[in-house]
Amino acid sequence: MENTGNLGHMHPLSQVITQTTKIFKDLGFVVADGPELEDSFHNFDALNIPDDHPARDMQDTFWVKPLSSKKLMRTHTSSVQVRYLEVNKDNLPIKIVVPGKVFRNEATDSTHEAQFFQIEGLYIDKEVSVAHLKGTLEYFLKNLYGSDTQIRLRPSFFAFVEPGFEVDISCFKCKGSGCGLCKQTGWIEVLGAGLVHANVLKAVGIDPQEWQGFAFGCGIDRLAMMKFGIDDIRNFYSGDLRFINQF
Amino acid sequence: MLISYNWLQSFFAEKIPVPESIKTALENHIFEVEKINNLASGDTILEIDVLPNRAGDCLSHLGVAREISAILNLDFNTKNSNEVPVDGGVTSVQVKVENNLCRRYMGRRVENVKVAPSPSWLVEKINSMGSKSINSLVDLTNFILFDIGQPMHIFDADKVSGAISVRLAKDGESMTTLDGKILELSHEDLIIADEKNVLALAGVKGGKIAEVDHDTTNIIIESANFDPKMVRRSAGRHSIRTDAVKRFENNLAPMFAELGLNSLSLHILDLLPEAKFGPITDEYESPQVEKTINIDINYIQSRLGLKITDTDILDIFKRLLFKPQQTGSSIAVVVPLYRLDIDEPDTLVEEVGRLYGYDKIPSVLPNKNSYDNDSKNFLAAQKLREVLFGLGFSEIYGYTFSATGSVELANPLASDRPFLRTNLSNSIKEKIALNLKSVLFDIDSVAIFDIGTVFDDEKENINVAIGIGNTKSKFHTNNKSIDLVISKIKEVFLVDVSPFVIKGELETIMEFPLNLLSEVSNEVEINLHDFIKDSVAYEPVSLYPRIIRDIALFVPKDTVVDIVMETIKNKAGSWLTVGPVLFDEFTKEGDVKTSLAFRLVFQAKDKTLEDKEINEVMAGVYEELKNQGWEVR
Repeated sequence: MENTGNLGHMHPLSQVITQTTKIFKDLGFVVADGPELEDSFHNFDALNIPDDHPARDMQDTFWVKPLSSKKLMRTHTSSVQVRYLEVNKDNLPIKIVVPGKVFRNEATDSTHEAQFFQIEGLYIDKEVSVAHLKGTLEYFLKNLYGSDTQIRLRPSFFAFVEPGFEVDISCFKCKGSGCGLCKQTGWIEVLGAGLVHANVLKAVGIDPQEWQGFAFGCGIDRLAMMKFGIDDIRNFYSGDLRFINQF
Repeated sequence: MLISYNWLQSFFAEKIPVPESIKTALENHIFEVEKINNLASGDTILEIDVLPNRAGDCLSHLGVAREISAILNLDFNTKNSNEVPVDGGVTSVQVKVENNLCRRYMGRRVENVKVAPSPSWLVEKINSMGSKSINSLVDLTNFILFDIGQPMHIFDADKVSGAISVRLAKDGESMTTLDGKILELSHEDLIIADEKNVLALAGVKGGKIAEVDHDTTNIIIESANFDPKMVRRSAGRHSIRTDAVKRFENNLAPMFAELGLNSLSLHILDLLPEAKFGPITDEYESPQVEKTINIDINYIQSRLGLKITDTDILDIFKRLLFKPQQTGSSIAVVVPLYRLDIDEPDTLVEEVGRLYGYDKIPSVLPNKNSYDNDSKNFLAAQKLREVLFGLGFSEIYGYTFSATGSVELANPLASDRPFLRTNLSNSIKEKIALNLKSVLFDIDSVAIFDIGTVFDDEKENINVAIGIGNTKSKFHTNNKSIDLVISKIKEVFLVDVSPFVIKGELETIMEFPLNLLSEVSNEVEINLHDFIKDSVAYEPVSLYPRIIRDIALFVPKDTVVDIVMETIKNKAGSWLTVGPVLFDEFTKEGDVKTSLAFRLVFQAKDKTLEDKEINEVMAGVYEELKNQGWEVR
C-alpha cells in the first residue's frame, strides 16, 4: 500500500507559539529563552515576590532537592525577564517574547497540568505607558483572534508589575452576546500584564527614573484549547498521534 | 471574600445599585466577582476575589464599601464612632509586650457579661458569611472580623492568671487550640501568655485554656496587630489557616485594632447593657504616621498614556478619602492609615488609572524597532521542525517529570515520577509503542520527534529526539526514513548527526543536543506556515478499544472507487472512525472485474464495542453491496 500523508504534523502548542511569536516579530519583539530549572532569586525575589510573602501562594512551586539550594522549577516565564535584563541592562531598550515551559504543583485535571507553556513579553524603553501596552496587546489579540476582537483591561495584581491588569477579549465564539465558552459574560480572560515594577528594574541594577517598561504573560495551552475547542489539557502531553495528527 | 449586599448597604445612606451593577463596578475598577448567590433570607452574597495587595484593607465589608463609595462616588457613612463609658471599678488589663513582632496590643476587661445565644440579626449576619452561630460573644468577634477586618479575641478573664505577656515561646512549651489541636511551640513562635499558661498563638489561633464558656462572666478583649511574616511563618509551621492569619499576613494596618476594640465594646454594650467596661490598655510602641507621597501630574499622564486633567486626578484622590494638596503640577497626597499598600508614586498612578477607567486609555502602538536577534535555540528548533514535518515526522511534547534521573524534586506531584528527565529517548520509545497500537496496517511506521529540556546534575540542555518504529522487524529493516533525516540535517545545518543513531529491532532513535544545530544563521528562511491550521474539526480521542474489519469485493471494471467507498460509509454507521481505506486494487488482465479491498476501523466514544455489534453493521454493509450488484469475496 502506498504511504499516504507524507507530511508530519506540528504540535498544536508549537502552532500557537509559532503564530504568536510571528505576530510579535512584526512589532519588533525577538524570541529569548532561559532555564526551566531556576533559583528562587530569578523566579521570585527579583520579581518583587519576597520570601514569606502571600504572593507566593498564587503559585504552587516544585522545589528541587536539597531545599537549601533554593532551586525550583520555574513557575512562570517571567524569570527570563530578570535573566535577559541582567545580560542586557547596558543594552537598553529591549523588546522580547519568551515562549517556554513552566511548572505548577497543582492536582491535574482537564484544565490543569503540572507543566504547561507560557509566553512572556517584555519591553523596556525611555517612556512606556499603559497606552503602549494596550496598543501592543490589541495588535496581538486582533491578529490571533480576528480583527473584530475587542480587548478590555481590568485591575489585577502581579507583584512584578504596577499597575497590573487582567486582559479580556470579546468572546470570539458568540461575538460578545454570551455563550458557554465565555460563561455568558461576552468576555474571555486571556492574559495578565502591567507596567514593570520599579523594584524589578532595581533588582537588576537598572535606574527606574530613566527606564520604564511593560510586561505580559499568557498561557499557551489555554489559547490552543480555546482556538481548537480542545476539552482536556492533558492531550497535549499524551504523545498520541490520534490527537496530534488532527492538527 | 463573601460580601453581603444588605451588609454593604448599611454603610450608605442612599440606596446602592443592584448586585449585578455592584459586580460590574467592582470588576471594572478593582476586583473580580466570582459568584452572586441569592439567599433564602432575601440577602444576596457576592463572592469577591480580593487581590493580594488589597487584602490588608479589603477583606471586610468596610473595605469593599469604601471601594464602592470611591468607584460610584456615593457618600460613605462612617459608622458610630462613640465610645462606651468606662466603669472606674473595673481594672485595666496588665500587658507586657516583650517583642516588637507584636506591633500593637490593645486589651480591655469587661465585667458582668453573660454568654447567651445571639440575637437574630447577628445570627443572620454570621450565617450569611457561611459560618455557624456559636454564642453572642464569639459571634460578635466574628462580626467585627467580617465588618471591619480586624481579628478579635476574647479570653475568660477568670481563667487568666495575672498579667498578659506577648513573647516568644520557649522551646518545649505547648498549647491546646480552641479546636483541641496540641501545638508544640518553639522559640520562633510568638505567643500570648499569662503568668502560668500559653493563652494563644499570636495572630493565628486562640487556646483552650482561657476559652469563653457558658459560665463566663468577666472577659478580656484582645485587639492586636502582629508582624505579617511572623504570622505567616507561624501558621505555616503549625499548618493552621484562619481568617486571622489571612488578614495579618497581608499586612493589616495597626489602626484597625482600635476600630475593632471600640466597635466590639459598643456591640457588647448594646447586647448586654449591664456590662461594665474597664479602661483600654494600648501597647503601641511605634504608632502609624500618615504618609505623604508627592507625584507630578505629568508623571501620571505619561505612565498611563492618558491626557487626564488635574481636576479629575484630584477628584479621584478625594473619592478615595486621600488628602491631595496641589502646588503647580505637583500633588502632595496624604494617604489614609489603612492603605499600607500605597507606598510609592506608581501605586498612586494605579489608583488614578483604575478609578478613571482603563477603557478610557487609548491604544497606542510603540515603535516597531527591534533590538536583538531571535535566540539561536528557537531558530534552530523552528528550522528543524520544518525539516522533520517535511519528512513525515509529527511532533510530540513529553513530560519533564520522570521515574529516573539525577535531579530530584523535593515535593513531587506523583510519587512515581520524582525526577527530572535526563533524556527524551525513553519517552519517544514509549510513545512509538503507544502509537503503533493504533496504526492501520502492519507496514505503517510511527515517526515522531520531541524538542525539550533534559537535566543532568542540575545542568540543563535542550535536546532533540527523533524516532521511528514499526510493528514488525521486517518492515523496520527496510525503513529508510532515519537516513533521510540524517542527510537532510546535513544539508540544512551542515552537521552530521549519524553518530547519535541507536538502531533497535523495532525502532530507531537518535537524540542529540539542539545546540549542535544552533549555528544556523539569523537569515535562515523558516517556513512553517503550511503546518499551521486555522480551524480544525477536533474530535476527542476515544478511550475505548477499536475493532478492525476488512472487506474485499469484485466490482465491474469501470466502477468508480469513490462510489464504492461512499456506499460502504453510508451503511457503516456512526461507530466508523477510520476508513474505508482502500488497500488493494487489481484487475486480472483481460478480466471484466476489479478486485477491491478496504479496511474499516470501528470505535465508540462511550463504550467498548462488541464483535456482535460490528457483525450486524457489517451484515448491513454486505447486504447493500449485494444490492448494488457487487460481489463480496
